[in-house]
Amino acid sequence: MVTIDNLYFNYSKHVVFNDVSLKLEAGKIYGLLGQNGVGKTTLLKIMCGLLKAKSGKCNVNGYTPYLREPGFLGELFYIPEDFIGPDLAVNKFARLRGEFYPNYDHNKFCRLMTEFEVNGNSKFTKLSFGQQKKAIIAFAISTNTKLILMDEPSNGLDIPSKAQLRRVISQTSTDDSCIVISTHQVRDLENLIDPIIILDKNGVLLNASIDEISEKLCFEFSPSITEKAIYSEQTLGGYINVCRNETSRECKVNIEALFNSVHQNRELIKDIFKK
Amino acid sequence: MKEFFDINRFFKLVQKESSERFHMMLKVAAIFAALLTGYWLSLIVFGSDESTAAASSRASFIFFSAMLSMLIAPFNLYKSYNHRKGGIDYVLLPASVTEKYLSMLINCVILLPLLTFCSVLLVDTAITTITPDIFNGFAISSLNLGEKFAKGYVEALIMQLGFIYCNLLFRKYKVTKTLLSTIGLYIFFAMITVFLITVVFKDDFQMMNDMNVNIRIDKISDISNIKEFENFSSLFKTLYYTSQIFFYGLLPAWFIFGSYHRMKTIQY
Repeated sequence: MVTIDNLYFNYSKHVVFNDVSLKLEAGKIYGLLGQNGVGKTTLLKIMCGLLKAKSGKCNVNGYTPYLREPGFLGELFYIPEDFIGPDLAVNKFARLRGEFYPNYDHNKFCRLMTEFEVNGNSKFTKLSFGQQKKAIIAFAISTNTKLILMDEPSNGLDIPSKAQLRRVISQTSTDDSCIVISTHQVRDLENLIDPIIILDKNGVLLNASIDEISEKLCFEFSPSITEKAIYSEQTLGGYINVCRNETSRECKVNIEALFNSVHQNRELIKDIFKK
Repeated sequence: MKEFFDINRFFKLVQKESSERFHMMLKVAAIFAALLTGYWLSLIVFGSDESTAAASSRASFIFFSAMLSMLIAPFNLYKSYNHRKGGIDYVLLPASVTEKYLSMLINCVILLPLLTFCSVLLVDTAITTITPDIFNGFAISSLNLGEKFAKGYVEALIMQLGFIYCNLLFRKYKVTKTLLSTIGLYIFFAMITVFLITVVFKDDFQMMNDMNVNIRIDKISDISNIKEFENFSSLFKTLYYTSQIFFYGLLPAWFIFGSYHRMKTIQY
């Protein structure tokens, strides 16, 4: 679906990616995590053609994104973090733009709008930030494109809307589609994202499925710090300890603890997940 | 080929663009129509019994409105095209750059000026019907379309291609930067022209000193209409034809290619 080889990108003197390689497959919902400024949004923009890689290759479904060919654009939808809606009624926006997406389903859009409780007859400019977000997410999902890129989709959504978003995204995922969600709000999407990609300023720190992570790491809650813990975090009533999973027992992955342990033990994590 | 241009997709795009931008076009047309109405009201309120507005001057205003709306069209209808956030939605629309550019030209060169022209003409006709003593004669009968078009439309079109290019090129203070660039270019070419006429081709123009004729030159191409043009030196004629090729050929081609290239390669 998406192949990135030896990607190099910089903004003036600030190098964002240096020799980054990544492969994304269809049928999965990827969580793209990273600290502020590591390049999550930049990576999404390179994948959808808004930015051009300075060197290296990025290939999406056989297309070079930066060329922005109609065939490529018709198979992809990008939801930016700050979506600026036009001065147009939502339903009219959807109907006019939907014509350009071969698999667009207007009935699905109307159903999603009802589920999100957003009035389709209102203009974007009259909706709140959260409502605009929900409207554009509804439209993105209704296009039934093979690749959906979402940059912080749960930002600005209220608690019930986050639950609706989780439900809608999980229903959207099919075997030939791929969804990439860049987020800081891992708790909003914890049970949804699999695999997990963690970026840092040097490139990709981790790209593994939840199964692979739980095979290799264990996330335990205990009253004290475990001796063998590679990372510990104090929480209410005790500590979350991240250890190597030496006994191959099943455990639930705590994404926040995973993120912190990956950042504090970069080389060790690379070594553990070396393929 | 379908990636470059598809006629069905193009028509869908034109329909979508016109539909989305119709209210903006209507606003511009309404402003010009309101200006004419305001002028009429000012004649009623502040004018004397003999205050009238001739049909020819109102016809000129109608053409002026259409030309001006054409020039400001890119900044009005497509101002957010290269905005880092606002432009993302349009640039990722599944249509080719060729289709998007042609659609932009249709809206800026044809639809908005036509809408403005018809609106102002309609208002003029209505006002003339209501108060024929103030608005003398219908402007529609003074339009002389063929003559007016021949006189200024080509230059306005070239200027507009330049404005479209500048709208895509500049991200902030578009109108100011475009106007400054236009004025700068005009001054630059005017200085070259003055230098050529007063220094390089001084002798060629000296011979016109004794001629008892009126020469009116509104634009460069009018030079060839001078009776004595054949007597000018071959260097002058070469430079003249070169300037014609530059202004009517190379410059618009640069603007068109530059706009296409900018739309194709712009990053967000």
